[in-house]
Amino acid sequence: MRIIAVHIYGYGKLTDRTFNFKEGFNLVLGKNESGKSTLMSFIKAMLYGHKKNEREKDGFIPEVKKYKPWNSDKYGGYLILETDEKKILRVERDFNGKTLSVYNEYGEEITNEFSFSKENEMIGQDLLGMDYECFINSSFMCQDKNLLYAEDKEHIAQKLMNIKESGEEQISVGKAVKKLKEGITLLGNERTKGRKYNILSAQIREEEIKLTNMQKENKKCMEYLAEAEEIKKELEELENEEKLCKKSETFNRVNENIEEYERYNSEKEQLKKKLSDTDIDAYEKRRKEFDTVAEQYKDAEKIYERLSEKEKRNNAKRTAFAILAILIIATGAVLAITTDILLLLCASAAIPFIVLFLIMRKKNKELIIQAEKLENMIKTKNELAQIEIVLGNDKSFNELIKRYTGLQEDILRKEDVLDYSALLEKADFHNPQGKEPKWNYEECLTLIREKRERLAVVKAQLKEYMNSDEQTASQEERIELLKEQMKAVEEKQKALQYAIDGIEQASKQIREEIIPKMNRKMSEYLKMITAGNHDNLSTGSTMDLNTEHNKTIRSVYNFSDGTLRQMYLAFRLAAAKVFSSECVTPVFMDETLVYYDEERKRSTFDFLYELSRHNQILFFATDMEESLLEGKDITVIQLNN
Amino acid sequence: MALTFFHMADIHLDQPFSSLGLQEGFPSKRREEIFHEFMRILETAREEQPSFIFISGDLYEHEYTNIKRISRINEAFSELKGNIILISGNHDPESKNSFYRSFPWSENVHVLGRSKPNVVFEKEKVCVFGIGYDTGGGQAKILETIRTDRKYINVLLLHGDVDLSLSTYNAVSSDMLKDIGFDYVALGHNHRMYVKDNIYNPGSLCALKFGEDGKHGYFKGDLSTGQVEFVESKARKYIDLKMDYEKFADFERMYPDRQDIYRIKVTGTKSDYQPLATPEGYDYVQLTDARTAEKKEKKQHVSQGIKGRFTDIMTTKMEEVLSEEIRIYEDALKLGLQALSDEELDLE
Repeated sequence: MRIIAVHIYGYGKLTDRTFNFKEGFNLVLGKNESGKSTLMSFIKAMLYGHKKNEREKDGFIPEVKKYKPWNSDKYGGYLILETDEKKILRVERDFNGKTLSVYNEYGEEITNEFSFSKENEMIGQDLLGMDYECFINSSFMCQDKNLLYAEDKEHIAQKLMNIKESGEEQISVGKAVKKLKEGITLLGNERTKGRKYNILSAQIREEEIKLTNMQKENKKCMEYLAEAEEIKKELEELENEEKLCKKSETFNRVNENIEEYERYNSEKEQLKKKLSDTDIDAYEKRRKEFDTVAEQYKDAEKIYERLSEKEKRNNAKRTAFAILAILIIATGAVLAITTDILLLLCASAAIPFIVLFLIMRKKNKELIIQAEKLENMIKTKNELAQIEIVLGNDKSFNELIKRYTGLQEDILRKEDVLDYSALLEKADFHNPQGKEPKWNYEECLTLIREKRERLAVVKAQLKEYMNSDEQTASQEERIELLKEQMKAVEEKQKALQYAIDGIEQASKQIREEIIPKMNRKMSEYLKMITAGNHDNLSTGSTMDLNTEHNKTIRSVYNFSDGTLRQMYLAFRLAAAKVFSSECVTPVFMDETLVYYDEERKRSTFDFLYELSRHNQILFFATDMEESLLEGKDITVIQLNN
Repeated sequence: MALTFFHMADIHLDQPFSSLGLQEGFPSKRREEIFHEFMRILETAREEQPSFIFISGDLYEHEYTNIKRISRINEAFSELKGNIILISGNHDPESKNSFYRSFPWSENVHVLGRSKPNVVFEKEKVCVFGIGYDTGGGQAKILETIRTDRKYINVLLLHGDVDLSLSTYNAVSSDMLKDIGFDYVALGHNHRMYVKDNIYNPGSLCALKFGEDGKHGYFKGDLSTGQVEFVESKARKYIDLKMDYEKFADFERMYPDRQDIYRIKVTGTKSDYQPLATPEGYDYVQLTDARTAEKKEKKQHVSQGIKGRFTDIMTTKMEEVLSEEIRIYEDALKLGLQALSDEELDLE
């Protein structure tokens, strides 16, 4: 492409101006502030538009504002261009309305035929085959880009390295990758501390522990519930058991009582049987009588002996008296033969003895009666003794009866029944019917007490759970939210890594595709620029840019500033060539040679003139030595008027 | 004698709503709403006094519910005159320590399952069988052992699917149920309402997630007449939308129900990373920006610098990867360009 004419309606200080350019070398001369930069900026804006979204800050004025016309309402203009296909185009822009229109030589609007123009009004991209970034980094060398006021070697070297890596001098792949990696580190990972990743994962851990605890508590609560139900069942069982114990105990006690009752009963019955022949009442009566009489005859046996002796003695006396009486009577009878009186006398003499005899006999009779009485008594006593032997010689039969009666009463009273049959009924009622209690009553009570105590504890716990408002679901949601944030961090890191990979891949492509071409082109241009002083410039896998000089490969940093600048120019132009691909790009230069020494100026200028055979060159300068222009077909355009 | 009943299922009390967590407090609110809707229906039951309330599983979330909630439900149950018959679901299984087993339920609550397969109401002449959730899908086998007695009206509560060949979970055939002779089959498990002959699945009482569209509520009927009607619950709807960015501007006019829960996937193209504006005044709107970046035509035959090449590489990747990765690549592209332009990286 080449520019045939530029017409400005209004752009910065330039109003309603036309500039015509020719093929080859166009030298635009103008004093400072004559509008050289404005014209360059106009051409750039016509091709690529103004940079979008630029903001005014720190004294920086966005281009769109900076070039607002001073003396005109019309803000824009047009370019007449010739494409590589030799078609004439008119590219018109209105920077106020931000419109771009492209017309063909017949005045027909053909804007839509250019894809980039249609999309983002970058007709330059369609015509020059390079995007804006490439354009301003290669063929458009404005003053601040090529004068390298303050640049030192390192700065230039950095730019070269940038071009080598990114194809663009402003962009450092290393720096971009470093920045992205810093981003990854900033977000953090398992090995870092206090970063977003770490904070989030700590929070997640903490919340997960809380969740686990909540779940544990919930589980515990359910266990308590189950336990409470279990205890209730056990208590019910124990209470039944307690009842069973009581029943069983009552049964046993009543049973024992019944046994006791029955034992006495049978004892009594046995006795009764034994005594069935004995009239106990008669015995008791006789005994009573005997005991009453016996009081008087405490020693009945002795009295009886005495009486017996007395009786014997009385009998002897009686016999003596009888004999005496008989003897006297007999004597009288004998004597009476002689005299009757004597008989009488004798009979009279016998009377006292008869009387005595009679007395004795009477006395004896009494003794006998008494003795008989005594004998009877002794007999009775013996009989009673015999009965008593039969009665077991136990004075306590009565007591037995009494005890029996008492016991009977006790048992019945104790069991709160009226009679033996009621007692039997009671036993029957409390009969556990073969069910044996597992525990005794005391054990039962202890167990019941223990269970009740535990139930109270469990119920208290459950009450606490009942009052708790903790919601496990909310906790789960909190964690999910944190995990979402974590996911976002991880995705961001992934994105950063993808960006790194993408940039490295792009950089690799550039190195592989562009650099060999660049190396060739740079060497070619450098040779021309330096008039054969340097004939190669290359870059390899390392960051260094090297040149082979006097058969030695040397780093470009070893050369003087001037040479370095020439090398830089070679790079810029090589980049323009390489990046523009098949398109023929006009080269715009602003005071490129101002810092060059005479020799370098000449060689460079000669080279540029040589280059202008292929590429239209628009060289902007304040002035130019006549010697440099000699013998060259150069179109000179004076800006000042 | 009228034998009225309510039949519901899949209330999922205390379910987490993590997907709604982007709006703080909304999941808790949603949980309470569902609980209140359930309680409101019990309140209706208190007024209408149905003889039975059948709840066919997944009443609550075993993992998340607590004793306080269960107590409140039980309290409400105890205030009802009718009988409440419950079975377990896969979300509230009849496990060792489940509330179904260990909670001291009110006397009119009957939990049916393995330990108590049926309950007979002599006065009403109704026999209710219950087959809840059981691991291993053995529930269907239990059916084979059931014999109904024609003296009773036979009701089956089943947590599982009927005639859904795709479902392996507790799936049984309607023919089998017919053969056994149930008068009313009260299903649960599937969140979508469906009716087939005398098999009724009410679906979830309230919609619980996106995709659960259609009607939600419970059945109300009379076992003696066989009359059954569906009563819709009062609950928010989940509305899942895919809208073109241009149509999205019209969203508020098209969807005026501000209490519904919206998930909107906005499609179309975006330029300059213009963010989406969330519609105002809605209770819950979840926006997904699925707009694709304006497609840059590949700059064939154009030799480019790193930004162009990088953009090309990333754009190519976006065409190759799965949809969820596209977003990451879009971000990668943005970050890469920021890094190459030495701008501040957007790490938020």
